[in-house]
Amino acid sequence: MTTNWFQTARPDGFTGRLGINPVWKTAALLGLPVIYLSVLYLLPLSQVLWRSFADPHLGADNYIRLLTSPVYWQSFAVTFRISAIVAIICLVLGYPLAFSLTRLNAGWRIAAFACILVPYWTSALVRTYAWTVLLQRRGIVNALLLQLGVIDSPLQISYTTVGTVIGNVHILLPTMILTLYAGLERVDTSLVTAARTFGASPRRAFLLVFLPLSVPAIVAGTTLTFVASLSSYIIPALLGGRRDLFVAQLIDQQVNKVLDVGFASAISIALLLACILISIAYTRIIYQQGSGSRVHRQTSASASFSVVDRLSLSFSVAVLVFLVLPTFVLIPLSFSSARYLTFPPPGYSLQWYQSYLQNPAWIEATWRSLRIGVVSAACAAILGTLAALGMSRIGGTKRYVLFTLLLSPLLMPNIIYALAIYQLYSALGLIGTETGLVLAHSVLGIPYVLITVSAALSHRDAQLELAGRTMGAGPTAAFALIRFPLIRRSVFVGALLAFIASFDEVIIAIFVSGSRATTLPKMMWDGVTNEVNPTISAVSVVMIIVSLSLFVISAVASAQRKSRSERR
Amino acid sequence: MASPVDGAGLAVLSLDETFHPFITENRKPLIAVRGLAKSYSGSVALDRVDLDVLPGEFLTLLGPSGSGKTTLLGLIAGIILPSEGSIEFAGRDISRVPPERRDIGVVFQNYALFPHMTVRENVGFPLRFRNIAKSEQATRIREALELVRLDQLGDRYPSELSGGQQQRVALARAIIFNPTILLMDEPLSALDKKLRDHMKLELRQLQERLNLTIVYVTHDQDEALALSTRIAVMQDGRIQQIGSPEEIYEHPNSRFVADFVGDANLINVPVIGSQQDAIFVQLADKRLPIALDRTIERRNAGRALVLVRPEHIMVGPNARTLNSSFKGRVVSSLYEGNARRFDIDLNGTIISARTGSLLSGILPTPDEIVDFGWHDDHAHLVEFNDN
Repeated sequence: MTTNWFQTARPDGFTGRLGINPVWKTAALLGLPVIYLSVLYLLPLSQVLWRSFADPHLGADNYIRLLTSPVYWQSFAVTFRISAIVAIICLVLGYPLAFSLTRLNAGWRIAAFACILVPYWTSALVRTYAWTVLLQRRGIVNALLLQLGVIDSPLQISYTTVGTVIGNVHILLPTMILTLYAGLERVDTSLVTAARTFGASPRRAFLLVFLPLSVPAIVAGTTLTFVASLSSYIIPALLGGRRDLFVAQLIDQQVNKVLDVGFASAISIALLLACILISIAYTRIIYQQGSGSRVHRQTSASASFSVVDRLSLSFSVAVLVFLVLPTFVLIPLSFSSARYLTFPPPGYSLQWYQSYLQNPAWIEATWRSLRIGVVSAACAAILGTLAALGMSRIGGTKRYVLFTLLLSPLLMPNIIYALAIYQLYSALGLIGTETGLVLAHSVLGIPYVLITVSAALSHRDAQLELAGRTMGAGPTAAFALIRFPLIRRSVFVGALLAFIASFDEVIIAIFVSGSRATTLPKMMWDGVTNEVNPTISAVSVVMIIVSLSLFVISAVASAQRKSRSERR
Repeated sequence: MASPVDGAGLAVLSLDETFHPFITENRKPLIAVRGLAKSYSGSVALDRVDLDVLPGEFLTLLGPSGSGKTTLLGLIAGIILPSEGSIEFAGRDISRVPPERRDIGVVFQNYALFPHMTVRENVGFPLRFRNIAKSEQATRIREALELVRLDQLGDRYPSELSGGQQQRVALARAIIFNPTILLMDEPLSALDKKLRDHMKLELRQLQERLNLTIVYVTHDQDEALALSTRIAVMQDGRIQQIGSPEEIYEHPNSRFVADFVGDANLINVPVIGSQQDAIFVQLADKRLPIALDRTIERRNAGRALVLVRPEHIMVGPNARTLNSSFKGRVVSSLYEGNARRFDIDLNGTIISARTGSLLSGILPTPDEIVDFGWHDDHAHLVEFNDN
């Protein structure tokens, strides 16, 4: 059973592997990240739970109020209804695209992935802002529809349910596509070929074999987009109608306008509960489907769906255009010579970049965002790497629980975490400080580092470290000379992603940056909500450039890491 | 010198070294493993093993996967902590000493070359922890690379080397610091057969030239027989038998060892008599004398398991001259290139014979009745059975 010291195939898998590493070392590695998250994440969240029952006085008053007054549960109903519509539209748009992705050759697949990942890593605020421009009464969409003769007078799209749906679909479609793709790629296409040999037409083979096998992916993608949409805040606030009050807006209203933190807490707990219950239901469905089997993909099967292919391919191209194009409308707009937002621009000038660069407030906010991004990414890199190293040494339930804890900030509705951290900072006097933002952003960044580093930590690297030990390297030298060089690039990639997450983050900034620590997205947000100001287009382009160049660097770095590990 | 024999009645399986002339030479063991055990959450990987490694010997731990051989090697290397027992290194217990302070060279199964270092950096790695001047380091790296004939490839990365070259880098890295002992974990298993045979030869020469003490793990019996001064055959976390390759092959002390090392005809026969240094067994209509060797404890039992190696069986009319000669029906005849294998039915027992060249020049065909047999001293007693 044991042909390798490092991969002892014992029932509990992990304990035998690092036979000489005592338990206290694992504890030392995991201690710091766990304490950090306990203080900055679990504690404030439990405080939200506590205040939902205790503010203003002990009891279930807040929940009774939530359930009895129609204004509030109608907000839940609206949120659920719109989120359902969003999830279904994402599925309809995403499935054919994800399906095409599994059948493209490597070169085209990379191009298509770029079209999906570029919007994915562009600030949600910037993308939503682009839609506010596009969907205006005198915006491009209306102009186009008028020109084509589809409509006679401009439609009101902004500030309607349709606006929210379009914005949410655009933001969440990449998540849907990536989730679907991960599932569809695992479907054994040789089964489809088998169906064909039994006489099924391509369409019947697809409907009877492929589609049923892809149900787990469909469930996963729909659940993820639905839950994410439930907690969306920026989009309904900027694009939504006055009557479509999303739950997240309700929370914001209660905290920042009504100043009823107890009730806001109760709403948050209700929202969180809904998200958790849906996620649990989803895991159950997935487990019942038994989607665990990995299969070898057969290239010969690619001929099986030629008809479906052509249809879905042209559809997919349209979806990709929908994903990429809207954001880029901001680029010509930022160079506009007009004094107001109009498209196409009557002429080109650098006036908006000048007004950005000459405004000390914008510059200060930019530097602050960069500072906060760098420091929080560094914290996340250290804590995430420690956590990943510690996690690689444990197994079983402990590992599962810790992973859930450490990754949950990624799935936690930002509005709830913002409320939680707002309460903690109010007590600690951290509102309006860069320290506060750094701490909160680093919590959001840890999962990215944990994911990239965990993926890079292989059994083989643990073996190499032990091999170094037999040659005389002590524990520290073995780590510094062998283990760390092998994961360095992944730490770097994780840190870059954590930086982007911090640099684009707006909801926590809205809650805790106060007036003294305004970040760039926060300042943009204030600008977008207060007045239409083309400077924001220029700022958006700056944000797009920062995020995308970092994303490209990280993509190149991880590609190099992959090629290195393939070579060995 | 004598190791404690654990548990009465298990004497047959024990490592009572007095049976083995090789070990009774008065040499102090380099490594003395005493009652060493390792279990993983309840399942036993190594079950209280005793073992002496003598200076200059090539000791092979041979066994199927899961037999505990790799665990034993890992324990000696210090990369696994024992559950109980001790490992003594020149009289000092090192079972809790971390690997970097054991001075043991290890060649890992998949070489464990550092992918981010060049060949030179890999080979020089152990010297970085040994207070050696830079110039001295460079000299030793050059010598080590010359020794394994890789002096031209010092600046390559491991990924740019062939499997055989990687293997040699791993070897150079493991011996560059003159470790007291060299451990090798299936070092040849990743190579193809031709290269493996070549490396076997090189390894043996290197061991003799540098007078290395080697503990070698393999599941390949040919490797074990060709390379070792001693072989320890392992099963279920225990050492079943330890001895020279000849002893292991000619005088296996159990059905497992006989079966695992080489091809074996294991014939279960009734015991019909005994004398001073032999017993008599009944096979077909013959009464065969089987010499008692010291590995098997004599006792009164109804039946005995007798081993005859296929290559010791003669087929053809000449076999009639032997004392142990029989007539049987050929069941199958398989051409194997360098030999031919016959399966012969002797009253319901299938006996395999492997012949290089036929005695008569006439090829027996299936269903033909042939004469076959063996010299009496090619039949070995493996164990007594009661039923």
